Amino acid sequence: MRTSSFAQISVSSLALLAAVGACTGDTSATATEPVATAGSDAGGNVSPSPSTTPKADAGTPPVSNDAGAPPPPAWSPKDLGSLAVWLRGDLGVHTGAAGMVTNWDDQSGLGNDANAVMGAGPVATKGALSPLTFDGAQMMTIKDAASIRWGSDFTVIVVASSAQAAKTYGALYGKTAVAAPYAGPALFTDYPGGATPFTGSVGGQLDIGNFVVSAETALDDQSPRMFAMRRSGAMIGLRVNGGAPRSS
Amino acid sequence: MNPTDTSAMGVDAFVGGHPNVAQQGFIGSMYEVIGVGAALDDATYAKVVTYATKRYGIK
Repeated sequence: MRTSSFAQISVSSLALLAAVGACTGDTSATATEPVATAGSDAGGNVSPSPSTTPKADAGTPPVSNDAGAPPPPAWSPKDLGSLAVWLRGDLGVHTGAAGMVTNWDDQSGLGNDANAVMGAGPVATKGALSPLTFDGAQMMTIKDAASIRWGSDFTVIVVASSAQAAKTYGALYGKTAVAAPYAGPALFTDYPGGATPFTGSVGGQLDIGNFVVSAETALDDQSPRMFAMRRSGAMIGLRVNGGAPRSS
Repeated sequence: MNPTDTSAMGVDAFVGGHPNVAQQGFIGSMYEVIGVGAALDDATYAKVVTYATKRYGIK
C-alpha cells in the first residue's frame, strides 16, 4: 500500500542485488584541472546586482537610496540546515585525461568531496549546465565522515537526466553496507526488483527489504529531473520534481 | 519495518555507481547532488524544487 503524501505507511519486501563483488575503491585520485571553483556563484545562479548608489556631485549632499540596495541573494542549497553534501556540476570539478573527472569538490563547506575510483570518473561537460556524464562503468566515492552518517532522518536529492538502459539500474547516490541486505540509504534509477526491475522508475531504499519506488515511469528519457529520497524515522518517501510524494 | 541505523556504518558513500555490484552504474548526466542530515519538510523541499526548476528547467 502506498499513499500520496509524506505521511507514511507500511513497507514492501523484495529481493534484489543478486551479484556482489569485492569493493576495491581507490579514492586517492589526484586533482588536476578545476573546471570551476567554489568562489564562483556558490550561492546560486543569480548574483546580486552591484550597488547602484549614485555618485554624488561635488557639493551635493548624500542621498538616501534604499531603492538602490542590492537584492537579497537567491536561495540556494547552501541555506539548508544540516546540509552535508552539495556537489554541483559547474563548481569544483577537477578533470584529468580526456576530460574525465578526478575530483568533485563539495560545496557544503564540510569537505565531503567526491573522488573518482581507480581514475575512472565521469566526463565533465563544459557548458551552461555543466553536468557530469556517466556511462555506467564509472563511480565516485565520498570518504566516510560523521557528517554523512545520517541515521534516522535525512534527505538525498539528485538532479540528473537518466539514459539508463532498460533492465539495468544505476546508483545515483548511496552509502550502504557491503553485504546484503545492503543497509544504508541508496537512490537508484530503474530501480531493481529482482527479476522484474521497475524500468524507467527511480527508487530509494534503506536496505533491500525497505524501499519505495516512484509512481512515475519513463524517467529515463534524458530529461533533467530532481529525484529526492527522504527518511523520517521509520518512514521513507520518494519524490520526482515537485510531484506528489510516494511513501513506504 | 525495522529501519536501519546508518549512523555508524563507516563506509564510503558512492555516486554514480556501486562499489560492489558492477551493473549498478548510472548512465546519464548528473547535475547536482544534495545530501542533508535532516528530513526536509514540504516547504523547504519546495524551495529546492524552485531552485532546480530555475537552474535546470525541471518540470
